[in-house]
Amino acid sequence: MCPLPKAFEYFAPENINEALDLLNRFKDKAKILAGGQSLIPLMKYRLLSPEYVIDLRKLKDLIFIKEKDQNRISIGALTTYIMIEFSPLIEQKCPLLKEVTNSLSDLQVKNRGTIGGSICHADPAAHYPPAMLALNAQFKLMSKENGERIVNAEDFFIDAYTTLIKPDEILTEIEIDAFQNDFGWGFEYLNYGGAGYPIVIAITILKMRNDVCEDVRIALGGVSLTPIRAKIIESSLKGEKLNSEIIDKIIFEKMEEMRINPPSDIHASSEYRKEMAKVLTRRAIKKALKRLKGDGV
Amino acid sequence: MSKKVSITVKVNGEVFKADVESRMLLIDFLRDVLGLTGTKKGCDEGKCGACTILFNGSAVKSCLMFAVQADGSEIITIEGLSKEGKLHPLQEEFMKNIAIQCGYCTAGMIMVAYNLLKLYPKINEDEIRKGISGNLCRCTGYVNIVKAILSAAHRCEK
Ligand SMILES: Cc1cc2nc3c(=O)[nH]c(=O)nc-3n(C[C@H](O)[C@H](O)[C@H](O)COP(=O)(O)OP(=O)(O)OC[C@H]3O[C@@H](n4cnc5c(N)ncnc54)[C@H](O)[C@@H]3O)c2cc1C
Ligand code: FES
Ligand code: FES
Repeated sequence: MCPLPKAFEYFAPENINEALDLLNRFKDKAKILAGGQSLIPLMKYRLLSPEYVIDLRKLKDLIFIKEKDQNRISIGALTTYIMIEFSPLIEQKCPLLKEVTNSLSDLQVKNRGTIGGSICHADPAAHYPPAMLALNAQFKLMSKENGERIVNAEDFFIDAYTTLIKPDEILTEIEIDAFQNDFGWGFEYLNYGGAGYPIVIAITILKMRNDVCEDVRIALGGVSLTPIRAKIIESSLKGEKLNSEIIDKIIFEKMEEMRINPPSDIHASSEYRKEMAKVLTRRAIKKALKRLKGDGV
Repeated sequence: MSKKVSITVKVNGEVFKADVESRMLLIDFLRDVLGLTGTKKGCDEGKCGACTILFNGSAVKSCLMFAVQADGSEIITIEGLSKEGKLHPLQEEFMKNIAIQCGYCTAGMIMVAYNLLKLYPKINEDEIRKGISGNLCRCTGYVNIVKAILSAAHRCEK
């Protein structure tokens, strides 16, 4: 059995301004509580013992999924995984995010866990952080003193469980790319059985003109302390006529050049993660190609 | 330091008011304060699903919520599934299909299944297996649990 968390004072502010006020008052003595699916276990293990807990459950304004314009979708930070998985808009305009959500964790965690919580928690093995990189996400952060600022996903994750967010800031909104007809995508991951964090994740988004790769994004999770974009591979693929041999060659060579140094743990060694990153990236690109060709996957 | 917080919660149709310590877990509130011991505590860290309840209609692990978060909400536990002394089809099918051995996982399995049947009106075996992936059973090997949920789904479809 876990011990109880250390005692704390609990607040459930009625609106965002009240929440920002409280956070500004208590700064790093306080923690935001969203779905609690990461924070509560940490508090039970006493890895975190905030003096004040600010529960955002009354901020219904931060629950939404909407089309911003043709190219972008905007999601409220308190939107749960399950809402994203079952959203017709996401299914139509960002099928990649639906599939990523479908594959993660279990129903109970998805009923509570929020997109904002997953991003702010920044677990190096989590599903959403690499998906955010692949989808060119931007995060809206708010604080009482400085109002609003927008941060690119690529700049946001700075270390394991560490992001650019300041103690007095709240993530309110996430903006991601909407898919166009000429986008192909692939999502591949390796699990160690059952629901839970994967060992390695590879996500790709691909745009082709005739047989030539016009644009490609590759995001990896589980191979470093933060999610990363495989930019060296991306630029080598761009402009190439893609077929199976070329994809294999470029990925195997260029992944070496990236000099990733994944962590080792009980689930996988660093070497194994590195190998799997190659295998999964290759598969993800091929799946994206297949989708574009309408071959069915 | 920690002040008590007043909460009002509707559990199995009945309204309860209580003053709880903010760090009290929802599962402890249900079991120790309300005496609803049908909900079980297995791992106590979100990994076994034994403590699953319905929170505003959705299956959640009650060891991963504080009781204060439930203020103003509606909860159904295993004790609240039967209506006028008649068991829910899921409960009946768990018995008929011998989907229970020691019974420790059963309440959690049934509560998550309840949510699954609502989410997927025509659920299939794969969806069930994936859907109960947050719930561990150390006894049955899951086969009869999946069968029981499938049978209940067929009955609820009709
Ligand atoms: C059994 C289990 C299995 C899981 N499996 C997976 C998995 O396979 N893949 C995966 O990716 N994740 C998994 N998770 C983690 C899950 O995704 C968490 O729900 C998620 O990481 C956190 O979201 P939350 O809303 O619950 O956040 P919380 O736990 O409430 O908060 C997490 C952190 O983010 C901060 N925070 C939350 N929201 C905001 C905000 N809007 N602004 C500023 N700070 C904020 C909190 O202060 C806290 O530090 C699993 C969790 C469990 C319990
Ligand atoms: S006791 Fe809650 S998930 Fe195990
Ligand atoms: S019946 Fe014993 S744990 Fe499932």
